[in-house]
Amino acid sequence: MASSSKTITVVSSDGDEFEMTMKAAEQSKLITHMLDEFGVSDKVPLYNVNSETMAKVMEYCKKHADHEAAKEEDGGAAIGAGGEEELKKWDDEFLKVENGLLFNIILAANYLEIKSLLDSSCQAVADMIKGKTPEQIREIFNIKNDFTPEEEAKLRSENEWAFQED
Amino acid sequence: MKRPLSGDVAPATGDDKEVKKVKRTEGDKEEDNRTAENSGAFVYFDENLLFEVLKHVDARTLAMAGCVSKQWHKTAQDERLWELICSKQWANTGCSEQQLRTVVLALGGFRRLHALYLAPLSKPQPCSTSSSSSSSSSSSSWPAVPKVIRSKPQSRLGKDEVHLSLCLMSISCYEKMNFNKRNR
Repeated sequence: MASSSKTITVVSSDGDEFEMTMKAAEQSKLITHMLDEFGVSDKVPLYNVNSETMAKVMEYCKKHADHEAAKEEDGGAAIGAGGEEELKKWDDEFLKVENGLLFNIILAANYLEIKSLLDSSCQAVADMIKGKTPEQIREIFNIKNDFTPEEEAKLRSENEWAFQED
Repeated sequence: MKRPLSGDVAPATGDDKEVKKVKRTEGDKEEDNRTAENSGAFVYFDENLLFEVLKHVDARTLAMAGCVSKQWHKTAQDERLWELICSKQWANTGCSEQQLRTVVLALGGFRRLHALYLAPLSKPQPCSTSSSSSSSSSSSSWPAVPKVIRSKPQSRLGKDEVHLSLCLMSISCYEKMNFNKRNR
Protein backbone atom coordinates (compact mmCIF):
# COMPACT_ATOMS: atom_id res chain seq x y z
CA MET A 1 0.00 0.00 0.00
CA ALA A 2 2.92 2.35 0.58
CA SER A 3 4.71 3.80 -2.39
CA SER A 4 7.80 1.70 -1.81
CA SER A 5 6.43 -1.69 -0.96
CA LYS A 6 9.77 -3.30 -1.40
CA THR A 7 10.76 -5.46 1.48
CA ILE A 8 14.02 -6.97 2.51
CA THR A 9 14.80 -9.95 4.66
CA VAL A 10 17.22 -9.92 7.52
CA VAL A 11 18.51 -12.97 9.32
CA SER A 12 19.25 -13.05 13.02
CA SER A 13 21.98 -14.96 14.77
CA ASP A 14 19.45 -17.66 15.64
CA GLY A 15 18.72 -18.15 11.98
CA ASP A 16 15.26 -16.61 12.08
CA GLU A 17 14.25 -14.43 9.19
CA PHE A 18 12.50 -11.11 9.52
CA GLU A 19 10.92 -9.07 6.80
CA MET A 20 11.02 -5.32 6.86
CA THR A 21 10.02 -2.57 4.47
CA MET A 22 12.66 -0.43 2.83
CA LYS A 23 11.49 2.54 4.81
CA ALA A 24 11.93 0.67 8.06
CA ALA A 25 15.29 -0.65 6.92
CA GLU A 26 16.44 2.89 6.26
CA GLN A 27 16.26 3.56 9.99
CA SER A 28 19.45 1.57 10.23
CA LYS A 29 22.53 3.09 8.64
CA LEU A 30 24.27 -0.24 8.56
CA ILE A 31 21.49 -1.98 6.66
CA THR A 32 21.25 0.97 4.28
CA HIS A 33 24.96 0.77 3.52
CA MET A 34 24.80 -2.97 3.05
CA LEU A 35 21.90 -2.62 0.67
CA ASP A 36 23.71 0.10 -1.26
CA GLU A 37 26.75 -2.09 -1.61
CA PHE A 38 25.23 -5.46 -2.17
CA GLY A 39 21.73 -4.79 -3.40
CA VAL A 40 18.39 -5.96 -2.10
CA SER A 41 18.18 -9.37 -3.61
CA ASP A 42 19.99 -11.28 -0.93
CA LYS A 43 19.04 -11.76 2.65
CA VAL A 44 20.93 -9.50 5.01
CA PRO A 45 22.72 -11.45 7.71
CA LEU A 46 22.80 -9.74 11.09
CA TYR A 47 24.63 -12.34 13.10
CA ASN A 48 25.28 -10.01 16.01
CA VAL A 49 21.61 -9.76 16.88
CA ASN A 50 19.51 -12.56 18.30
CA SER A 51 15.88 -13.12 17.43
CA GLU A 52 14.35 -11.69 20.57
CA THR A 53 16.25 -8.46 20.15
CA MET A 54 15.69 -8.41 16.42
CA ALA A 55 11.95 -8.58 16.90
CA LYS A 56 12.08 -5.56 19.17
CA VAL A 57 14.31 -3.62 16.81
CA MET A 58 11.96 -4.45 13.90
CA GLU A 59 9.07 -3.09 15.92
CA TYR A 60 10.95 0.12 16.58
CA CYS A 61 12.00 0.62 13.00
CA LYS A 62 8.49 0.00 11.74
CA LYS A 63 6.98 2.45 14.20
CA HIS A 64 9.46 5.17 13.36
CA ALA A 65 9.18 4.55 9.64
CA ASP A 66 5.40 4.82 9.83
CA HIS A 67 5.73 8.00 11.84
CA GLU A 68 8.04 9.53 9.26
CA ALA A 69 5.77 8.48 6.42
CA ALA A 70 2.77 10.05 8.11
CA LYS A 71 4.72 13.26 8.58
CA GLU A 72 5.66 13.37 4.94
CA GLU A 73 2.19 12.57 3.66
CA ASP A 74 0.16 15.35 5.16
CA GLY A 75 2.96 17.80 5.66
CA GLY A 76 2.70 17.15 9.36
CA ALA A 77 -1.04 17.71 9.66
CA ALA A 78 -1.83 14.13 10.52
CA ILE A 79 0.78 14.07 13.21
CA GLY A 80 0.19 17.48 14.68
CA ALA A 81 2.05 18.97 17.58
CA GLY A 82 1.21 16.07 19.83
CA GLY A 83 2.66 13.58 17.41
CA GLU A 84 6.24 13.88 18.57
CA GLU A 85 5.12 13.66 22.18
CA GLU A 86 3.17 10.56 21.39
CA LEU A 87 6.13 8.96 19.69
CA LYS A 88 8.29 9.74 22.69
CA LYS A 89 5.71 8.10 24.97
CA TRP A 90 5.65 5.10 22.71
CA ASP A 91 9.44 4.91 22.89
CA ASP A 92 9.34 5.05 26.68
CA GLU A 93 6.84 2.22 26.87
CA PHE A 94 8.74 0.29 24.27
CA LEU A 95 11.88 0.37 26.37
CA LYS A 96 10.18 -0.92 29.51
CA VAL A 97 11.68 -4.34 29.24
CA GLU A 98 13.90 -6.36 31.49
CA ASN A 99 17.53 -5.30 31.72
CA GLY A 100 19.01 -8.13 29.68
CA LEU A 101 16.86 -7.29 26.70
CA LEU A 102 17.42 -3.57 27.13
CA PHE A 103 21.18 -4.01 26.97
CA ASN A 104 20.84 -6.22 23.94
CA ILE A 105 18.77 -3.50 22.33
CA ILE A 106 21.57 -1.02 23.01
CA LEU A 107 24.10 -3.39 21.49
CA ALA A 108 21.89 -3.93 18.45
CA ALA A 109 21.19 -0.21 18.00
CA ASN A 110 24.90 0.46 18.16
CA TYR A 111 25.73 -2.28 15.68
CA LEU A 112 22.91 -1.41 13.29
CA GLU A 113 23.64 2.31 13.67
CA ILE A 114 20.13 3.36 14.58
CA LYS A 115 20.97 6.62 16.31
CA SER A 116 17.57 7.44 17.74
CA LEU A 117 17.18 3.98 19.26
CA LEU A 118 20.70 4.12 20.65
CA ASP A 119 20.02 7.50 22.24
CA SER A 120 16.67 6.47 23.69
CA SER A 121 17.87 3.17 25.07
CA CYS A 122 21.03 4.69 26.53
CA GLN A 123 18.91 7.39 28.10
CA ALA A 124 16.68 4.71 29.60
CA VAL A 125 19.67 3.02 31.21
CA ALA A 126 21.07 6.38 32.28
CA ASP A 127 17.76 7.13 34.01
CA MET A 128 18.09 3.86 35.89
CA ILE A 129 21.34 4.96 37.48
CA LYS A 130 20.62 8.64 37.99
CA GLY A 131 20.89 9.68 41.58
CA LYS A 132 22.00 6.23 42.70
CA THR A 133 24.95 5.45 44.91
CA PRO A 134 27.71 3.17 43.63
CA GLU A 135 26.38 0.32 45.77
CA GLN A 136 22.94 0.67 44.25
CA ILE A 137 24.37 0.78 40.75
CA ARG A 138 26.31 -2.41 41.41
CA GLU A 139 23.13 -4.08 42.55
CA ILE A 140 21.20 -3.10 39.47
CA PHE A 141 23.82 -4.46 37.10
CA ASN A 142 25.18 -7.22 39.25
CA ILE A 143 28.68 -5.75 39.13
CA LYS A 144 31.45 -6.87 41.38
CA ASN A 145 33.19 -4.24 43.45
CA ASP A 146 36.82 -4.82 42.57
CA PHE A 147 38.23 -1.93 44.58
CA THR A 148 40.12 -2.46 47.77
CA PRO A 149 38.72 -0.59 50.79
CA GLU A 150 41.62 1.85 50.54
CA GLU A 151 40.95 2.55 46.89
CA GLU A 152 37.29 3.02 47.60
CA ALA A 153 38.01 5.47 50.41
CA LYS A 154 40.32 7.44 48.12
CA LEU A 155 37.63 7.62 45.45
CA ARG A 156 35.06 8.81 47.93
CA SER A 157 37.27 11.61 49.11
CA GLU A 158 38.08 12.64 45.55
CA ASN A 159 34.40 12.76 44.71
CA GLU A 160 33.25 14.21 47.97
CA TRP A 161 31.31 16.95 46.23
CA ALA A 162 29.07 14.34 44.63
CA PHE A 163 28.49 12.39 47.83
CA GLN A 164 27.72 15.49 49.81
CA GLU A 165 24.72 16.62 47.83
CA ASP A 166 21.48 16.20 49.71
CA MET B 1 41.92 -23.93 31.46
CA LYS B 2 40.12 -26.47 33.54
CA ARG B 3 40.78 -26.51 37.21
CA PRO B 4 40.42 -29.62 39.29
CA LEU B 5 37.48 -29.61 41.62
CA SER B 6 39.26 -31.22 44.45
CA GLY B 7 42.60 -29.60 44.68
CA ASP B 8 46.04 -30.93 44.47
CA VAL B 9 46.45 -27.86 46.53
CA ALA B 10 47.39 -28.25 50.14
CA PRO B 11 44.29 -28.93 52.17
CA ALA B 12 43.50 -25.44 53.28
CA THR B 13 41.18 -24.44 55.95
CA GLY B 14 38.11 -25.69 54.79
CA ASP B 15 35.22 -25.32 52.56
CA ASP B 16 35.91 -21.83 51.32
CA LYS B 17 38.67 -22.83 48.98
CA GLU B 18 36.69 -25.67 47.52
CA VAL B 19 33.71 -23.45 46.97
CA LYS B 20 35.90 -20.97 45.18
CA LYS B 21 37.27 -23.66 42.93
CA VAL B 22 33.81 -24.82 42.01
CA LYS B 23 32.84 -21.34 41.02
CA ARG B 24 35.94 -21.01 38.92
CA THR B 25 35.34 -24.12 36.92
CA GLU B 26 31.79 -23.10 36.24
CA GLY B 27 32.90 -19.79 34.89
CA ASP B 28 36.08 -20.99 33.35
CA LYS B 29 35.34 -19.26 30.10
CA GLU B 30 35.81 -15.86 31.60
CA GLU B 31 38.47 -15.84 34.16
CA ASP B 32 38.75 -12.10 34.28
CA ASN B 33 37.56 -10.35 37.38
CA ARG B 34 35.23 -8.23 35.37
CA THR B 35 32.95 -10.92 34.08
CA ALA B 36 33.47 -13.75 36.50
CA GLU B 37 30.36 -13.12 38.50
CA ASN B 38 27.62 -13.38 35.97
CA SER B 39 25.44 -16.28 36.74
CA GLY B 40 22.65 -13.72 36.45
CA ALA B 41 21.11 -12.45 33.27
CA PHE B 42 23.47 -9.55 32.95
CA VAL B 43 25.57 -9.17 29.86
CA TYR B 44 29.14 -7.93 29.91
CA PHE B 45 28.95 -4.21 29.64
CA ASP B 46 31.22 -3.16 26.83
CA GLU B 47 33.23 -0.02 27.56
CA ASN B 48 32.02 1.73 24.45
CA LEU B 49 28.42 1.18 25.40
CA LEU B 50 29.05 2.26 28.95
CA PHE B 51 30.49 5.42 27.44
CA GLU B 52 27.35 5.91 25.37
CA VAL B 53 25.14 5.48 28.43
CA LEU B 54 27.26 7.80 30.56
CA LYS B 55 26.88 10.54 27.97
CA HIS B 56 23.31 10.89 29.20
CA VAL B 57 23.87 11.26 32.93
CA ASP B 58 24.44 14.29 35.08
CA ALA B 59 27.64 15.22 36.90
CA ARG B 60 26.81 13.64 40.21
CA THR B 61 25.77 10.34 38.64
CA LEU B 62 28.93 10.31 36.55
CA ALA B 63 31.02 10.74 39.68
CA MET B 64 29.11 7.92 41.35
CA ALA B 65 29.56 5.74 38.32
CA GLY B 66 33.31 6.22 38.64
CA CYS B 67 33.16 4.53 42.03
CA VAL B 68 31.34 1.40 40.92
CA SER B 69 34.16 -0.75 39.60
CA LYS B 70 37.51 -0.43 37.88
CA GLN B 71 36.02 -0.68 34.42
CA TRP B 72 33.41 1.94 35.20
CA HIS B 73 36.07 4.11 36.79
CA LYS B 74 38.19 4.01 33.68
CA THR B 75 35.23 4.96 31.48
CA ALA B 76 33.94 7.66 33.81
CA GLN B 77 37.35 9.36 33.80
CA ASP B 78 37.05 10.11 30.08
CA GLU B 79 37.52 13.83 29.53
CA ARG B 80 34.97 13.86 26.73
CA LEU B 81 32.21 12.94 29.16
CA TRP B 82 33.20 15.70 31.55
CA GLU B 83 33.47 18.13 28.67
CA LEU B 84 29.85 17.31 27.82
CA ILE B 85 28.83 17.91 31.41
CA CYS B 86 30.69 21.21 31.63
CA SER B 87 29.33 22.47 28.31
CA LYS B 88 25.77 21.73 29.39
CA GLN B 89 26.28 24.03 32.30
CA TRP B 90 27.54 27.05 30.56
CA ALA B 91 25.60 29.10 28.06
CA ASN B 92 28.15 31.01 26.07
CA THR B 93 31.84 31.04 26.76
CA GLY B 94 32.80 33.56 24.12
CA CYS B 95 35.32 31.30 22.46
CA SER B 96 35.23 28.27 20.23
CA GLU B 97 34.89 24.75 21.57
CA GLN B 98 38.28 23.76 20.29
CA GLN B 99 40.02 26.72 21.94
CA LEU B 100 38.31 26.02 25.22
CA ARG B 101 39.17 22.36 25.03
CA THR B 102 42.84 23.14 24.41
CA VAL B 103 43.02 25.48 27.37
CA VAL B 104 41.14 23.29 29.78
CA LEU B 105 43.04 20.15 28.89
CA ALA B 106 46.31 22.02 29.32
CA LEU B 107 45.24 23.19 32.76
CA GLY B 108 44.24 19.78 34.01
CA GLY B 109 41.08 18.71 32.24
CA PHE B 110 37.35 19.05 32.44
CA ARG B 111 36.91 16.58 35.23
CA ARG B 112 39.11 18.61 37.56
CA LEU B 113 37.54 21.83 36.37
CA HIS B 114 34.15 20.54 37.25
CA ALA B 115 35.03 18.97 40.58
CA LEU B 116 37.06 21.87 41.91
CA TYR B 117 35.50 24.95 40.40
CA LEU B 118 32.14 24.34 38.79
CA ALA B 119 30.44 22.01 41.24
CA PRO B 120 30.78 24.45 44.14
CA LEU B 121 29.24 27.17 41.99
CA SER B 122 26.12 25.23 41.25
CA LYS B 123 25.47 24.17 44.80
CA PRO B 124 23.65 26.44 47.20
CA GLN B 125 26.18 27.74 49.70
CA PRO B 126 25.87 26.82 53.37
CA CYS B 127 25.08 30.00 55.24
CA SER B 128 28.37 30.41 57.04
CA THR B 129 28.56 34.08 56.15
CA SER B 130 25.45 36.13 56.70
CA SER B 131 23.48 36.39 53.53
CA SER B 132 22.98 40.13 53.96
CA SER B 133 26.58 40.68 53.00
CA SER B 134 26.02 39.29 49.55
CA SER B 135 25.43 42.75 48.15
CA SER B 136 28.82 44.01 49.21
CA SER B 137 31.07 41.53 47.55
CA SER B 138 33.70 40.67 50.08
CA SER B 139 36.98 40.59 48.27
CA SER B 140 38.58 38.28 50.80
CA SER B 141 36.31 35.27 50.41
CA TRP B 142 35.95 34.32 46.77
CA PRO B 143 33.16 31.75 47.15
CA ALA B 144 30.60 34.43 48.03
CA VAL B 145 27.97 33.04 45.77
CA PRO B 146 25.34 35.58 44.84
CA LYS B 147 21.78 34.96 45.95
CA VAL B 148 20.59 34.37 42.41
CA ILE B 149 22.50 31.15 42.07
CA ARG B 150 21.48 30.04 45.51
CA SER B 151 17.83 30.08 44.62
CA LYS B 152 18.28 28.12 41.38
CA PRO B 153 20.83 25.43 42.14
CA GLN B 154 21.33 24.12 38.63
CA SER B 155 21.26 27.33 36.63
CA ARG B 156 23.44 27.71 33.61
CA LEU B 157 26.65 29.56 34.19
CA GLY B 158 27.36 32.73 32.29
CA LYS B 159 30.51 33.72 30.45
CA ASP B 160 31.96 35.49 33.47
CA GLU B 161 31.57 32.54 35.79
CA VAL B 162 33.18 30.26 33.26
CA HIS B 163 36.10 32.62 32.73
CA LEU B 164 36.49 33.07 36.45
CA SER B 165 36.63 29.33 36.96
CA LEU B 166 39.22 29.01 34.23
CA CYS B 167 41.27 31.81 35.79
CA LEU B 168 41.22 30.13 39.16
CA MET B 169 42.22 26.87 37.61
CA SER B 170 45.15 28.46 35.79
CA ILE B 171 46.22 30.28 38.94
CA SER B 172 46.36 27.06 40.89
CA CYS B 173 48.24 25.51 38.00
CA TYR B 174 50.85 28.26 38.02
CA GLU B 175 51.09 28.24 41.78
CA LYS B 176 52.15 24.65 41.63
CA MET B 177 54.72 25.43 38.97
CA ASN B 178 56.20 28.28 40.99
CA PHE B 179 56.50 26.21 44.08
CA ASN B 180 58.48 23.68 42.17
CA LYS B 181 60.89 26.31 40.99
CA ARG B 182 61.33 27.82 44.42
CA ASN B 183 62.30 24.53 45.91
CA ARG B 184 65.08 24.03 43.43
